[in-house]
Amino acid sequence: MDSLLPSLKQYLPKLIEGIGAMSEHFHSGQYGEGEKLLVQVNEGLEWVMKAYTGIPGFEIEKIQGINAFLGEIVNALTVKDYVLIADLFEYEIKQALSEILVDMGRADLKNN
Amino acid sequence: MSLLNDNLSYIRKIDTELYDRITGQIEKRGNPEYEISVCAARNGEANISIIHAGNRFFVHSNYNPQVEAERWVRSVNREAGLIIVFGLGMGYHVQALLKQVDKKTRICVIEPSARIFKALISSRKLSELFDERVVLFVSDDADYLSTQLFNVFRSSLMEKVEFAEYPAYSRFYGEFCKSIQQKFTEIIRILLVNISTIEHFKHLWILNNFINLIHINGAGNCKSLEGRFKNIPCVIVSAGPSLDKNVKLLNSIKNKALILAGGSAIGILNRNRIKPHFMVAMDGAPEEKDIFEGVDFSEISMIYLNRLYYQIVEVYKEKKFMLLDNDDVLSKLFCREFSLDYSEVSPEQTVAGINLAIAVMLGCNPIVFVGQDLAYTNLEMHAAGAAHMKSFEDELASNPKKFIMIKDIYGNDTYTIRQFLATRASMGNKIKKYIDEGFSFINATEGGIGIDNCDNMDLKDVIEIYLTNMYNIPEIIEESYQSGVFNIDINKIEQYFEYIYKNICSIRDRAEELHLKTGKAEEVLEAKNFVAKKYRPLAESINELQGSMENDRFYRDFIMGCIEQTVNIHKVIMGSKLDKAENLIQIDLEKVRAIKNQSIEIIAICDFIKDLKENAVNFYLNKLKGM
Repeated sequence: MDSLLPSLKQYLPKLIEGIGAMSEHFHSGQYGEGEKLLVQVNEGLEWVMKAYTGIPGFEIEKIQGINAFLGEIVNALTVKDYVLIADLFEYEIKQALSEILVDMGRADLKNN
Repeated sequence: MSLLNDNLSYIRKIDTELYDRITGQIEKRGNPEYEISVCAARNGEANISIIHAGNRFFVHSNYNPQVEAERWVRSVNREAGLIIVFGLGMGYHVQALLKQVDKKTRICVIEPSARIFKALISSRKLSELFDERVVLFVSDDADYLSTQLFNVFRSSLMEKVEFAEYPAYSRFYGEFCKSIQQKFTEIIRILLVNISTIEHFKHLWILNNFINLIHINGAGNCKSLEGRFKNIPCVIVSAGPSLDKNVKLLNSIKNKALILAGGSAIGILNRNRIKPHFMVAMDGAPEEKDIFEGVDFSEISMIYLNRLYYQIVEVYKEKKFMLLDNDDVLSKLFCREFSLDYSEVSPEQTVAGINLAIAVMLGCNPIVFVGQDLAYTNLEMHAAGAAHMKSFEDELASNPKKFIMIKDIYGNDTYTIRQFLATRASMGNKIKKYIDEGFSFINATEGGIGIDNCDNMDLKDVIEIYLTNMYNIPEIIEESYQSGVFNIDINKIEQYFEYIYKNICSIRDRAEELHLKTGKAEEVLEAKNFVAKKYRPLAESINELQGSMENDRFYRDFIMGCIEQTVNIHKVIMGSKLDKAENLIQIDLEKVRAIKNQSIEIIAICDFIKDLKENAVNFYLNKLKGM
């Protein structure tokens, strides 16, 4: 558990950057490149959400919020609406992850 | 006044053709399967929503269209001189693109949906979206669009072209976008093939033309063959590798169909002891003679284009019929001079194309293709026994970029080349037109990549179903020959060439003067301190000289006929340079340079023709007069 928080704090910015790059590919019409990154982003997101639930004081609403958008992303993937996939990651998922990162920073300050 | 009407007035002011096209379209209901409406993205910007099969899509990002637009622009090659954008939507991406490209870049925007276009012009002010760099097309007609795009391309011939599909349009118009690209690329291919062939063969065609005209006596007139084979089937034999499969069946056809063969097919038929009724010969290159090596031409009549390599027409002993192509101004001038009727066909770069035109001109129906692979079936270049036998493997190894892998009519991989694809497309277009005129076509090649608009059938089935009656074909050929054979006094032919020579010398003198004056004008325009007083008299003199040449009927009919294609290329290049010119002096400089280049072309062709007359023409005339 002690190692989870530092790992999360180290990894989250990389995931957020990866989401940005993936959205860029989808918005530019480079679907092949975007889909490659999507696989990695999904794996990363799954790890982040598992790791986050292992941290004391985690906020369930943040996870539920992300889950809600994942459902929309699955629908968008089914109909290959890559612009919507890009938008949901860029403006919703990335936002939620950034808030989690901020919360972890505040938790750090409190403990120190 | 509503925004829609404002925008329509704006369109009418800047592009009446676009206005006429869209005013009818935008009132139509369109495809009811798609519900199109304007909505607001989360950041308040206008977006377009499309509901199809219960699913809702947005043309732009429904969070931030501007950011999406800027990201899309980064994926476009902005160095291209011409950018073709598929999809307009609300225009954010076109606006973003305009900010990122050079002021000389041209952007063609294609919006296939009139309803989406109406949504745009009901929501945003058009005059604030675009500038003069944008050419807008609202149409879903792929043929119309590819032609229009080509017209824009011609004015920027030297520039790179970038095709940029806006992502949302791949979903609804993916196939349409692909077909426009393909059609556009096809047009460029055909143009490239035509230009390179003409440049290569220009002088040779003039030589062949002159010498063949000297030997015109004893040749028949193709005009007397027109319509003489109405509703008689015709089999056009080409030398593709698949001919090996079914060549032996041609023996059973005899006089049940007119057999036309061209190029290397002659040697293959000869090997199989099959005599076509006509062999068709058109190639001006000396290598065309190889086709005649070791072939028994007895009882085979020849239809030839007057640009055929001259040593063939001179020695061909069987019946031969002269045919002109539309661009053959030299022969047409000769025919006019001697009041001769003539038949003409559209200039084609392949024997297959000419054979098709001839079969239609003769009235044949149905028309069957055999050996028309347009591909390297079984990795072979020709059927066995063709002249110019080469190894495909050697060609592929030495020049792999020349070959394109494609599916044949059976779905198997095969190789083809750019010229074959151009032939397939141009033959397909012609066949479509002829079908409307009542002709029918069958491709009995049994291999290759097929011919557009032409059904495939095995040759044995074609013979069973369509080739069941006998016709007196040799008699028809004999009668046609006798009714149209040429017989012109050789002294009159000699006088004709003297007339050509006199006029050529006069044109050459004027072109020389034009060259000198344009050279001086160029110096004046290029000088650091431009002096209008020096330039003006030169410009007037140049205009006068040009005018006198262009008013000269001989110049227009004869010289321009020889160099027209080259002049057109120079005009297109000048056009694109004029677009880039930044001031009036530069504009005049480009124009003067274009006239100077044209005068060089005219001097070169006049020198060639003078030399031809003084040597080869006089030699053959004297030979025929028995001197």
